[in-house]
Amino acid sequence: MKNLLSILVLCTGTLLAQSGQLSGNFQSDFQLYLEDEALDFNLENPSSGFPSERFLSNGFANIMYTNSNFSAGIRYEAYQNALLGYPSGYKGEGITYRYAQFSKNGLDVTVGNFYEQFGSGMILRAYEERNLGYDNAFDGIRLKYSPLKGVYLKSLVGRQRLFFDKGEGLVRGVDGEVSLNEAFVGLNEIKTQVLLGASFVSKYQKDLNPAYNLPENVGSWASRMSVNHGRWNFNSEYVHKYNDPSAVNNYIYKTGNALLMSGSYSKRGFGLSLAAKRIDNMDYRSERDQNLQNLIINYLPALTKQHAYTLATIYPYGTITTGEMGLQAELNYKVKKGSRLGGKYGMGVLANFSNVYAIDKQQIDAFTPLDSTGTLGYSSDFFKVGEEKYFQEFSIELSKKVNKKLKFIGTYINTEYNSAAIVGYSYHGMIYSDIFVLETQYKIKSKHSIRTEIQHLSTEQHEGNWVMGLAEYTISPHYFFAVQNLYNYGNTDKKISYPTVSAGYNKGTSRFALSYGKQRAGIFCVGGVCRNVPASNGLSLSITSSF
Amino acid sequence: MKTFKIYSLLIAIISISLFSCDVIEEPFMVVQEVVSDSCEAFIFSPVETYTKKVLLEDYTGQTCGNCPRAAEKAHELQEQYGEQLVVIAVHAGWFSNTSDEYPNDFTTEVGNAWNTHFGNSLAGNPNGMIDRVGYPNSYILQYSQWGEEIAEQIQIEPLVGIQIAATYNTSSKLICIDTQSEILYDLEGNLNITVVLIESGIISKQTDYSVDPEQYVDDYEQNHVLRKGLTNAWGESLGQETYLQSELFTHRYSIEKQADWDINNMSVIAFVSNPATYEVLQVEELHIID
Repeated sequence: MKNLLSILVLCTGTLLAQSGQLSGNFQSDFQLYLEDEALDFNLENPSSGFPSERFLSNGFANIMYTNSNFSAGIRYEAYQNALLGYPSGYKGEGITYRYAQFSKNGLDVTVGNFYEQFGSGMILRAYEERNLGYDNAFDGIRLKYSPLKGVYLKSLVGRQRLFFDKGEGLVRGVDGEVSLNEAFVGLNEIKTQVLLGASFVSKYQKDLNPAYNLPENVGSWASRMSVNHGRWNFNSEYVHKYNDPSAVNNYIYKTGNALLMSGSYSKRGFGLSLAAKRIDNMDYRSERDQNLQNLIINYLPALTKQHAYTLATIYPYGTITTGEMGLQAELNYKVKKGSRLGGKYGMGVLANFSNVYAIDKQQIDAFTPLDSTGTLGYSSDFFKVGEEKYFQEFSIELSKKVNKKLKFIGTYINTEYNSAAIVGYSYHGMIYSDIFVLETQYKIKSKHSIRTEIQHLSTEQHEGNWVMGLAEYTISPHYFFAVQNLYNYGNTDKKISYPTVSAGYNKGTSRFALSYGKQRAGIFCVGGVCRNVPASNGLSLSITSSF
Repeated sequence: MKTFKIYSLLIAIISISLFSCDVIEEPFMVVQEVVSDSCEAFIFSPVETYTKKVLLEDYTGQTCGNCPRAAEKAHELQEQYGEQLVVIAVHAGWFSNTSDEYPNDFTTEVGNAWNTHFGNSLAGNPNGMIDRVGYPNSYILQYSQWGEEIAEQIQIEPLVGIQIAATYNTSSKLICIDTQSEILYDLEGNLNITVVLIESGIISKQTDYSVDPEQYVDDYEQNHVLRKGLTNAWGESLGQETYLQSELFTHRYSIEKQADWDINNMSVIAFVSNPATYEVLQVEELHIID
């Protein structure tokens, strides 16, 4: 705590001495929870999660000072107490992030907290996703240095954030990247751009477990390449992790690996991208007994499309870090203006296909069941796709501007969702759903516009069909009002509707948003990282501001 | 000179990191304690006929308010089937977390490993498995489904017979256990034997939504609580790939009684399963003290 104070004093001291720049942002969310009979959301039902406080709030502020080569900052967070659905570890208040950074003679030094990513992040990525309560920032030292033109080196040592505490494990990492075109004079001018990179990451945690001979240092390495040639782009990264028995992989000693490859071609009005991944036993955390979103060192991409429409987020895919294989293809096409389909303004087509399967798993010998603890667990044929399908999705979105005022966006999504494998709803098995969305944007007059969404999800499994309607009225730049209702009319158990009304006011960089209504229970994901949120009813206020 | 220093620093960091990797060779598990010398081998006498017994694993937790309903169902089924139904209550997952109000930790390494593998607590407690039949698709059953599956499994001709013998020495507190598995038909494939201890009659606090308005019972009786694995979670192999009728396999275990175990309420459960499908072929239970 003393250190924090001295950094603060240092900041203010410097601020007075020289003219640096001070910036920051602030957000606070408040929610008043109301009992709800239809949702069985009340104090009498402890499993509904109804908070006995009734009123909960989350808030944070970042304050950052920059002066030429120096910057320092802090973040204060307060959970009094954390909103429903947030990880229960967020409780209380304090300074959770503080750092000082300076660069001199090409050496960049950070002490304190920092976020970092090596390559695609499959070996190491520390980041924050506030909406999910995800934060695995490092606390330690990071150096960045460029010894030669086109050569970039990074190294770090640190421990990771675990709510208001830190994990026990130490993480050490180095990463080097070479831009061949920058490094070699002869290649400066050529059209093909090549980047090569390699990383090594190791974690240390003491072995106090009497039952196992555990590796105290778990190493991993990665190599990557990125090639760009005009409209063509190709990226790949391979990661290898040595034996890492943990609670998530059931204490097996198999090595892990992951491969990610993607290629794309784009020109005006046309874009095509293809990507493939294979992940095998790559859950990597700085403490071997952690689970959920805690102390994760790396980031394994979901490689499925992230949807924004409400009903399309009911069955989101989350990467199965213990093993999966997947493909994704995306096509982006603009039908020309003046053609029969294109009309006066052209038409946008966005099509996406993705699927994910299990990896092949064979018993290591005839006597040992798959994934047996204290063994190598299983063997896997790298090129063989497993039998179980985890996820498949096809989506197409057509956007069409009719005239200067009116625009339509129509979307169709077909999803196969293996609920037992992804979220453990064992009884629902594979959930097949079809989703249709029609979005309309209409500009009434200068500064006044209205946006509506009609969505329908049909499925015979799980909670059955849903329908949703939304109307949003915006008076730019200050006000917006919205009403929406979700209705789970296909649910054989309980047909619940979830109406919400909301309004917002913006002024400069400040924003106030107020909403009242019901929230469905479900799994909310951002970037393939998911958390479970209970159904609730209440009044919420959100304030954000920056300076 | 400055550049040289920075280089040396970076090189030092790189080399330190590169060596920071331990690759562990087998055996991965610390070798299990050998059977105590003070245990004497038990000689089993031949058994004419074995009856098929069925294993019900009830995945539960002390803060799971609907779990007492599943325990009642298990009790009712045991009244119906008697010794032919063997019950293990596996406390694992979120509902088994301890707190100031629920200080007793009923989780076990074996139970946690099963729960992680089979995903029972993720599926929502209470639930259970009958002889682990149906894995990996529809193997997790609600307690309302248990009766039907048990009725079906109990009809099956037993492929393996198990006998258990156990002694307890009150002064050394040593429990000695012998098992004998007898192959009843020629079999292809592999077999593993798993041996665990359970305890009944443990009085502790339990969340129970049927109790109004408290929603809990202070002196709830926890029965069939999984206490300890004598083998690891997936058992030990009988060591062959084909088995011939009337082959016998014996295994011996010993363990010191822990202070919080009441030996009078404890049983040994041994079951033989197929490691490829996880299906339990036969199970046997023996009260340590008659």
